[in-house]
Amino acid sequence: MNDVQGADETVTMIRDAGSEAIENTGDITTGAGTDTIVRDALDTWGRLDVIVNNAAAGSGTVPDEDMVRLTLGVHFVGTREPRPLGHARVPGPALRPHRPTPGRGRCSASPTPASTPQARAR
Amino acid sequence: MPKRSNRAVDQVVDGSGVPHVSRVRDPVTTRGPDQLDGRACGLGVDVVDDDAPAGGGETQRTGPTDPRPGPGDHHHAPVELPRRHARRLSQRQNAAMDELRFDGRVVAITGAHHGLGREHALFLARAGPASS
Repeated sequence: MNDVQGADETVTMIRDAGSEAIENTGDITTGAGTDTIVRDALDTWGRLDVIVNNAAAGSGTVPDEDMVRLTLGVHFVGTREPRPLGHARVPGPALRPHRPTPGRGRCSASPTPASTPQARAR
Repeated sequence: MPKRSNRAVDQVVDGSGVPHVSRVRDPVTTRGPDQLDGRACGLGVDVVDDDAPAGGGETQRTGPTDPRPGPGDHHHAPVELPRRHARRLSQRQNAAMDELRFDGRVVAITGAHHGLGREHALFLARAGPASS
């Protein structure tokens, strides 16, 4: 289910653009998976400033139970669990020990209609 | 004889050379030309009614919906926004918007193996090369 095909290519493109990147294939439908994302960033760069909750799952069909679980996992767990460093108002278990400056940072979520007919047509 | 005041009127001149617009209602003021002394200018278009008495009215305007003609009463008139609209951002904010930088920032992007996530990643990579 965890589709990571092409992640290494993205990493290469980022490095070509002059930035650093590492690949993480953690499954964001579980708290353990999102923890590895945060942990990788902290281990590699010692900080995590922004999280772009871009991953999406869904289908145009009537969802069966597996699809409901997957969609909830990606959109709810994957959005709720990982949190940027320093966010004080919505403490996240993954980052609670790594919050050096309480009150700094923002947590904002801007959802897009991933499963609308218009989105599927693209 | 009503004055032919602009192009919008010229376009409805018939063969007789007499401009006429028979049924016009100004959507801003919701008044017809009969109530406007032959002129409806609320949206910047002069409308001349051939039933209107000649001579016109005053030329002094008191506001944007004033039916009397004035500067800007033509198509594509430059619109001067109120000051509060023209300057929404502070100077510092404008400068920040000129170049959005993410130097030294660490960003985690889920689903960046393709599509929009990859585009996010590449945008951020270009906006903030590693500060090593």
